[in-house]
Amino acid sequence: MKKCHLRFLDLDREEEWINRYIRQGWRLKNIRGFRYEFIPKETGTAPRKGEVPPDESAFLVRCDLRSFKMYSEYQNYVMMLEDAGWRHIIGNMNGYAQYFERIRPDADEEIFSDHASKAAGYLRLLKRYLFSLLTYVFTILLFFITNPFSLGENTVIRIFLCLMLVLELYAAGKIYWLYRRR
Amino acid sequence: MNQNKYLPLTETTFYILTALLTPGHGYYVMQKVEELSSGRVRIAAGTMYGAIENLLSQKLIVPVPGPDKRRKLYQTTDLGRQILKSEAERLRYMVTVADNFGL
Repeated sequence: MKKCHLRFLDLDREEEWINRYIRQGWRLKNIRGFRYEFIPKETGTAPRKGEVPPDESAFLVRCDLRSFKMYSEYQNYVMMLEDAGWRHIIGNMNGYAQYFERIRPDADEEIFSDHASKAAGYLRLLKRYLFSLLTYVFTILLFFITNPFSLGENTVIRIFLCLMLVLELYAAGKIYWLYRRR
Repeated sequence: MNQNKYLPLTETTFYILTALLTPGHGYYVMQKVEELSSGRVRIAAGTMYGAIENLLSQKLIVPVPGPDKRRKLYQTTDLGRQILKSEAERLRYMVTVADNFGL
């Protein structure tokens, strides 16, 4: 089954939203754009070595914000989480969102045991995008400063750049808000 | 040597550094810490990975070569061991003070 949802502003709310379906007997298979794909608990890939039959909180989904420069380190991370009972379902080493599902009943229900380590993910996100955001904003402002009143063939470009500026300020604000919200 | 920037250690860091006096990988540390603390300190997997990263950057632990390519091994460094000793001393002293006050 596929469910759609607008990009979540708040990752905690996203987790809650996903896990509502998990508790109804679904498993998260994939996320593509606005589409969240769920499959029934009983189907999906064959149980891997060490997996036991599902309990109530089986396949609970948690998200970590992290990216990696080296594949060996990424493997190390994925393996550490899997040893602890969390199988990696969505994400790659370059993207920042890593989704896990809980596959062992003796595993914790969270992948973070304190707020600071969870919040560190938002800070990583902010650091990653802040530089490019600031560069965009600066370039656009520069464009406006140098051509303040010329109209005509530049109008379409200028409208487009206005929209870009608004979007980028929104994105910057959103990331900052996520960081503050921790 | 200025140890003040490392001390006092958090409870979690204390247990991680102690667990890694002998080499181990991430999940081993999670289990060992729970055992050493008699269940008081449970580190979840995401937090564990972050803690290891921090300790690596502070040079309190180092990666060591191991047989499993997908599970990196870590061990407490000499610096880490020294910090642990200083922390243990600090805690022992505080316990003495507490005893003197009947706490």
